[in-house]
Amino acid sequence: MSALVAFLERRFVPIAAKIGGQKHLMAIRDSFAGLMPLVMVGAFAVLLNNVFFVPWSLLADFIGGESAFIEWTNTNIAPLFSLMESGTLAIIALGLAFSLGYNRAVREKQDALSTGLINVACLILLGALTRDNEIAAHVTNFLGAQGIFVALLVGLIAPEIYFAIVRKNWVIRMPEQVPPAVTRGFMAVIPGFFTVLVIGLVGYASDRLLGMSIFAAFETYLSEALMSLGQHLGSIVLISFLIPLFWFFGLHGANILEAVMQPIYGTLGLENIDLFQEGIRVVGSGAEELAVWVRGSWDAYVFMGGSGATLPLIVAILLFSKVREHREVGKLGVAPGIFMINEPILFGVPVVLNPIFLIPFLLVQPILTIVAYLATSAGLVGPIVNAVPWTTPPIVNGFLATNGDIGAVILSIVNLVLAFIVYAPFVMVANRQKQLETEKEDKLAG
Amino acid sequence: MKILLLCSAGMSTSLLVTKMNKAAEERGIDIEIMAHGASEAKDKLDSADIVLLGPQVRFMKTELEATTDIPIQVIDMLAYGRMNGAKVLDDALKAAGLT
Repeated sequence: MSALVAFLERRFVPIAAKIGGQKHLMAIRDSFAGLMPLVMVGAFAVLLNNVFFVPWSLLADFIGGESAFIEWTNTNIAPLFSLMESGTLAIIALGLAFSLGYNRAVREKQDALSTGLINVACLILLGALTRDNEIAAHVTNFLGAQGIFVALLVGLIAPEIYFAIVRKNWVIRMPEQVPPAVTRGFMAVIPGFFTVLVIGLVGYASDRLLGMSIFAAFETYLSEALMSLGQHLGSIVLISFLIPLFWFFGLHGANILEAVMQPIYGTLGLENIDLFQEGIRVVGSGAEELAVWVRGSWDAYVFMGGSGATLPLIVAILLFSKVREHREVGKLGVAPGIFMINEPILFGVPVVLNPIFLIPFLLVQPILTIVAYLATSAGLVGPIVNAVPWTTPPIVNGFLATNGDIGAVILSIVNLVLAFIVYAPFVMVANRQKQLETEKEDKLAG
Repeated sequence: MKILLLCSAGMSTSLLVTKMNKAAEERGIDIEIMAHGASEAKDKLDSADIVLLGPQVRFMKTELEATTDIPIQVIDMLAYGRMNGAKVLDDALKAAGLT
């Protein structure tokens, strides 16, 4: 077994490390992370409304949606928080375009602000401000979740054009006496002009040849196919499997896969928030239906205590383990584990590169994923319609994310128990192995 | 000695930083530890004497080595997981040539 692990480590890790370090994937990851101020502020505003101030809120479930308090808050308070959402979650694609340009430029040691601004220009000119097709007609522009994919493409492609021109040295250089701010502006003119021109040509061609903007074209032809692929249980389970696989070799699995998870499932999550606000309650994979699986689904039902569902592992260790180091690490890991931080456990037990825990570690997430997916798509558990911080503890996470669905609470508990059952036997195997080791050492010591 | 500690989001490292500071105090060494997420690495590099990478971001080592002469060390996995501040500190001192 250890030979297999060592072999995999030699073969797999360099490839995985390369993927993890790939500059565009890293830019995607960093750029989504950089949007956190927007996402969290907006999500919190929506959360407040969904918990207290609107007729379908948790509070309304208790005191009645028709009650005087709810009617008052719905008219006077809820619009304020909706307004906050309209400036944050609703412009996420715009933020992403800027963020991508900025991050790519920082990495390439170019003018970050200019690159970011040019990206914004490119996004807007492609038609982000108006929607002229039928899909998701309740939103009138592509600045929000609906525009994320195009923002991703434009956000990565436009800087390449910009940098290529800068590197060819086709820039206007100013004499030294000119203030730096002015110099910078002039230096950006030629690369910026050509970048915006190229993207402009794309937008123009789309209008002329397809009769619709790039956004609309994407939405009409590609979006549904991509989202269906994303909602396919196989894709989701694959991601759930790959994350611990990367972690097993000591690489931050979720981090590396964020470049895929955020654009697809993050977008679906944001769209769920929007659709829920519009009053849509139907779950499915259509454009006007609440998606079954979003980015938050992993945080709520799969990452119980961190990647690999390690909180139940800690419980199993504290209950069954007789290995002193494991128990110590377990005690250390409980507090961070409750908040979904598990590096102490992964590196301390260790789980990383440890053949004993390879099998449960790789299997537990796919199992939890399948259970959660089936429960949600069967309607036993409500869909996720709120964005909660990823560090929110298990059970609470599911409860808030589904806006108070009791099924989510039950599912979370079920998953915690399932993960515990998966890990417990292997904790005992570790006990046995330690016992054998100590016996061997005692024998050698005479 | 100024240490730049990088992990993925800066969350798992804060406890380690506390323990390292304690170990430094016991040894009578004056250190300043800055803990950051890996994405903020580039701006902070110049201010440090040594860069310590959390094992889960060890793939960044080659990339960072290309941009700076400061010693870069990947923290030992077990020491990191068990929050062994003393060991991490000693390894860092050795790598910086200060033992």
